[in-house]
Amino acid sequence: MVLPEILVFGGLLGAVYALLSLGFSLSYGVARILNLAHGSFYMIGGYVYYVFLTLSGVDSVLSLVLAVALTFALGIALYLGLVRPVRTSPVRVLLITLSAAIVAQEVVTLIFGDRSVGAPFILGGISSPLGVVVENQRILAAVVSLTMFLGVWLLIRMTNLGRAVRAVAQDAEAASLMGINDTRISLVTLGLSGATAGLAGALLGPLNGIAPDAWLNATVVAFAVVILGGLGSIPGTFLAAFLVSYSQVVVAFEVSSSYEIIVPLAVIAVAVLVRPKGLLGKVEE
Amino acid sequence: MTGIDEKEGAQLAVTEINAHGGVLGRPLQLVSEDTQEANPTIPVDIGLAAMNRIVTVDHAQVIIGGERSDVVLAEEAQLPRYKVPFLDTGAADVSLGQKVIQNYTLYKYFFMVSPVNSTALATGLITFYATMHYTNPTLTKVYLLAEDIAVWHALIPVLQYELPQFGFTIVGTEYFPYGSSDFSAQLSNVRTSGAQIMGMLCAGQDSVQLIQQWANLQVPALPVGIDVAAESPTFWGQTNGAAKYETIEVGIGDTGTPINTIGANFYQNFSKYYNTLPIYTADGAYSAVYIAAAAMEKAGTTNGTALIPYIEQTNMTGPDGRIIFDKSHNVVYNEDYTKGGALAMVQWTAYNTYTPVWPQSVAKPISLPPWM
Amino acid sequence: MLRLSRFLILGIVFGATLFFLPIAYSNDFALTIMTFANTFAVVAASWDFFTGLTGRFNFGQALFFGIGSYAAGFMNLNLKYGPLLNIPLAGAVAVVIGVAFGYPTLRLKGPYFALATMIFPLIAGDLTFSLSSVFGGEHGLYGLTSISDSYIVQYYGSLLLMLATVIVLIYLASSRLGLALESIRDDEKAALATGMNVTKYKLIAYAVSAFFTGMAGAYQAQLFKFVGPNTFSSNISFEVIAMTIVGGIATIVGPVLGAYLLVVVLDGLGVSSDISVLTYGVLLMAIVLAFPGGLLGRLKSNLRGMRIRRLVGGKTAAT
Repeated sequence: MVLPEILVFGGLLGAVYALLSLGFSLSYGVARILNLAHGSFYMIGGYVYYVFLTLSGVDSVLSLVLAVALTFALGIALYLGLVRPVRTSPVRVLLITLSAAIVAQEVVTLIFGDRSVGAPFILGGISSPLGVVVENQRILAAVVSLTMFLGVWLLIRMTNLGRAVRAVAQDAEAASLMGINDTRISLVTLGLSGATAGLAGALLGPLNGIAPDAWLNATVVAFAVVILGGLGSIPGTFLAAFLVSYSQVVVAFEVSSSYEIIVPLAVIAVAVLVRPKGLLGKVEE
Repeated sequence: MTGIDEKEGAQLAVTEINAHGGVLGRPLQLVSEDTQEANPTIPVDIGLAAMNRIVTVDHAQVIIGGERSDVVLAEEAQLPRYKVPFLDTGAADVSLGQKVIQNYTLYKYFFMVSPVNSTALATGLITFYATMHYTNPTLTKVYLLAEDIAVWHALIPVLQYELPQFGFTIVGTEYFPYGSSDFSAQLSNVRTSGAQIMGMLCAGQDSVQLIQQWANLQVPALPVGIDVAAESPTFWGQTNGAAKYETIEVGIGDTGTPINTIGANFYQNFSKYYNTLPIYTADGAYSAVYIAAAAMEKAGTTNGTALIPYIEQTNMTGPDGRIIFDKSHNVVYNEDYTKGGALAMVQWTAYNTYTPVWPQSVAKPISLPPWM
Repeated sequence: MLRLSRFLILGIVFGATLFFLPIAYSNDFALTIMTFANTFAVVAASWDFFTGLTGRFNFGQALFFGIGSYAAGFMNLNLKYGPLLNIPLAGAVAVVIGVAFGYPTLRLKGPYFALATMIFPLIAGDLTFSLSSVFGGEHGLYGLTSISDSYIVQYYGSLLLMLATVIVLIYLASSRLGLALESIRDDEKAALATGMNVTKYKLIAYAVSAFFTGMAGAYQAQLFKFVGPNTFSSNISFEVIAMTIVGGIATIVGPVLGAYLLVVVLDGLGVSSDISVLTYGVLLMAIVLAFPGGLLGRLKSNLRGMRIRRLVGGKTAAT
């Protein structure tokens, strides 16, 4: 039994999963957009960080900021260019975001090749929380993720914009009757969605390298977390993120890494069949 | 059929042969198709489609190539349909040769030119371990870490059986999925097991991440084993220098010091043409072209089936030593490179440089990372 | 009696061309491409049968393809069944497992169903790695026996399979089953109100789709003498959707045309697999964008979207 390892790795991973899934929760819970390309933001965030840092010699923190800015813009572009025209049909949204994800993967492959790329860390060195040796970058990733998660949550809770977002999540029709501009909200939501996923990718990417197909795993995890935690519930997303990360880490340590990919898939399959509302879900599909 | 190095090695041989008048009075021509085997996510049927194209469209009369055992195994099964000799220069799975013995009529088209098969690779590795223990008796605990693929499934039990007999304790064995990128669990396990040696077996690009993470986490275990990605001169750059101290098995012709004139010429010409050092698949492909050309000359024809007996009779010297095939159409392994294909162990020491640490005749002492 | 409409005549001419192709053009490479195209045509047509007629998007057609492939490979290696026997058997296995998946998932709402269909092939693919002793892991199952080593025989075999599939599917689509499915697609609530067992019909369509796709998977297994985890690949699921939408959804023959077009152009040119997938992706994006008013709405106004019954000249409901 490797309890300290599981505790530490699971916890650090869960924090990043929370940030990654937050965006998905927002876009699905608020804008009702099942964005299969959500993981692409993660992947692109990682690559943008790599490009600026390794290929252009830009400072690491600045590269991170640029990655976030670019994925924010991409989220907005995705909405305006591809999602909005087909918004009325959920299945077409699925189709178009899926094609976008695949196109993104192939374009990145054609430019960078299909092998994973690794960028230097923002924070080097190692530490030993609970006696477990981990890279400082991993700790940084978790801390930044938690901070951002908190920040976005406060934004939703405290600001007028946040209130508008919550209104749309609860009842889009009523919200628009109250004068809330649906397009503006959707733009903000998708932009935030892209930015948070991109940040997660830029933080985690250097640790294990990032490859063009990283989007699939990221999307699956985000979806699993959101569906487990419940649509429209940010605390649910937070809780579920750790449930998923711990399940994966336990499987990786105790059984075999070969099975760790099945965990989020199984979560989705079971949740879809048994309890689509999720653990803390407020919104009925 | 795969790998830039294979293509370049083969092209070099083709150029040399043509400069001497070609084969049967005509110039040799190299055609190539990319099976994209190196990418673990690319499915096998891309390789099969490439093989199909190379026979039906390019009309290849001898095929040279191969890297991933699963792709080559599938390709091997197709050979009776195409009736074209296949000289494998990358995949080492011993079952490839076993099929030749099981059903000679069908599988006789297959030959493993390079490397020596997985059993021989294990033998070489074990001999090195024995030597290592002799010179460093405090190094005893080994954690075996391998990709979850069949070729290693065959090799690991051999290591598990033999290593204890040379004074080693195996403190753990773990397989990870081919194409993994996150090794936190594995490296954690290596650390907690108290291992001093991380016995790794990697055929794919996984080691790029594994070694970087190993260095980042400063795991106090020396990486020793077979690592195909690490044989490439670019590995140092790919791992941002984390490759330092990794100790891997290579063909004896690949240590950086040629063992015979053929090897010396090969190295010289290869570096001259391509501005880089070759990896094991390059000299394999180089030798394979010569083998094919020689067989064609002796047989007086380019017909695939007719070439088989002449390829079987091959007895020539290549950059890795003497090339002779056994009954399973595998190149014979021998510690003495004048008698067969021989192996060596090298350790990464600097940018684009690795130094031999075994066999004794060429060895320098092994260094340990500063955190050990 | 079936009135022969001009579309059917066109179909016969096309079929004849395909039939005599090897005699006119016996290039080995072209034959292998066409054989490959035929197997994909079967998968695409099966997908269209289900999705086009029920309006439920199946994002994981590869599930049946993979099951058929592995079932055939398994039976060939372990039970020593020859390809002629295990192709239909593999289809049956695909039906059984397909129905097992379909039963719980078909009740789900549109996007959830689509997502479930996307997930299951991924799980199945992972299982072949976990159960590698049975399914060969990343090695797959190799050394299978094939119907013949002759390119020509393989071509005709695949052609036969494709024609049989298309004929049966068109027949089913223009039968009462097809009528029932279309009424469910057009207004499920109304169909339910008439007392129709909606789930049963959807399940039947799903099973039919599974059967032919499973056979296609088994056919490819004996063609390559090999089965690998990539038979569950989402690329396959994705490509048949692109092929169908390019060729014309809910037409059965449209997907065949789409399959031929895309396979011949992309594989025939020896385009790298990355560019190939990129093309499918861009194509799909463009088509989904270009047709406002919803895919089902587009059906009614799409010139190439010939309704099945028009093909065979039977009675049509007002369109």
